[in-house]
Amino acid sequence: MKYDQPELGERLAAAYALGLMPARARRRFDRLLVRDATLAARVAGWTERLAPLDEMTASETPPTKVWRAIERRIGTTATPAPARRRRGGFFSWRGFAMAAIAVSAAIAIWIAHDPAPLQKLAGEIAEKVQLPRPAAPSAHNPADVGLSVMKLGVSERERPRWLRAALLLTANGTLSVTVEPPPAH
Amino acid sequence: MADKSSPLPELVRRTAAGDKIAFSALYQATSAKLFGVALRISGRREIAEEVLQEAFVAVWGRAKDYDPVRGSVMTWLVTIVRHCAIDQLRHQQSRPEGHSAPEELLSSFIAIGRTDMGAEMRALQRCLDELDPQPRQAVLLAYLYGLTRDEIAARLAVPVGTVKSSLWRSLERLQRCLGS
Repeated sequence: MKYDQPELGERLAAAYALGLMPARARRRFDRLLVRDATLAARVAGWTERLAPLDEMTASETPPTKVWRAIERRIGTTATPAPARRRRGGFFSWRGFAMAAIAVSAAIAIWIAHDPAPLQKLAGEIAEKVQLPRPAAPSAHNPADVGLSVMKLGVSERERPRWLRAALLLTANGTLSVTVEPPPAH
Repeated sequence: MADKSSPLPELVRRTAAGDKIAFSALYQATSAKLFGVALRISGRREIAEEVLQEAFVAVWGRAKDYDPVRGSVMTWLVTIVRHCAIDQLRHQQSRPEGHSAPEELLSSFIAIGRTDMGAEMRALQRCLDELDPQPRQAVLLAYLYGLTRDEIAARLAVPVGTVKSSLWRSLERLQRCLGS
């Protein structure tokens, strides 16, 4: 079918917007819309024209169980180990990730301000978290100095979750902070 | 940090990148309106809840397909919800009770003098008003309640062929009247 004929395109777009297409045809049309901008614009024209009817429809807050069900379902496809993910799980680890970034950045700024004790501190941190002592940066080897890996134990009701916040301060003064989500259990 | 006040296109863009915080903010910002639309078509709360769930799972998977050329985020979302609700409706044997008294419901939608009407609704209302009663009803039954052409024909007691041609003529007139 030639969807680029203006009248046919317009008719199909209107049928789509009005909801008159049978499900299977509509799904084909959906795929077509992704790559046909002209047709997508025709559909947009119709949906925008009729949209005031939806604005007149009374809003109603859905029960919270709807969001919980959505969260469970997208968790299943988005991560390999969703079964143990509890309600609000991804919010809490992100919250702690932000905190970890802030702590790391604060340490980094402090060190960048006075780089002399950098080496000593890196060693101390490495010892504390049982990591190999970072190699000393040299003129020949201006490699990244792995400063710290922080493990933040995030205690949720059932068991702790762990976060790794790694801070890298390179010899040329570039700072990078990475935070890893809790490993999948 | 994404929150309810972030612009919707930004939230969709971040949802497409797998950002669940943005997705949650998108839900918070739009779900009440969308649940209203789902309820209008489904007529039953438990069905409308399923519809909203299906629609948002689809949004999560298809957020990368959103393009501003497809209209505003809200109309794009409404379209997804309407289509999910219509799919559900097709699977049911009986029609929601609310759909059986269309005339009053339809007139309540387009009643002149409603104070909550924006300029766009007033324009649409004026243009709907110019249509003959039956074709107008056909457009509204399809859009508001997701009725098929066959169902509209049965409701209006006219042949399906008549519904098909009059729907398209009405839409053409609406398009001209709205000047777009």
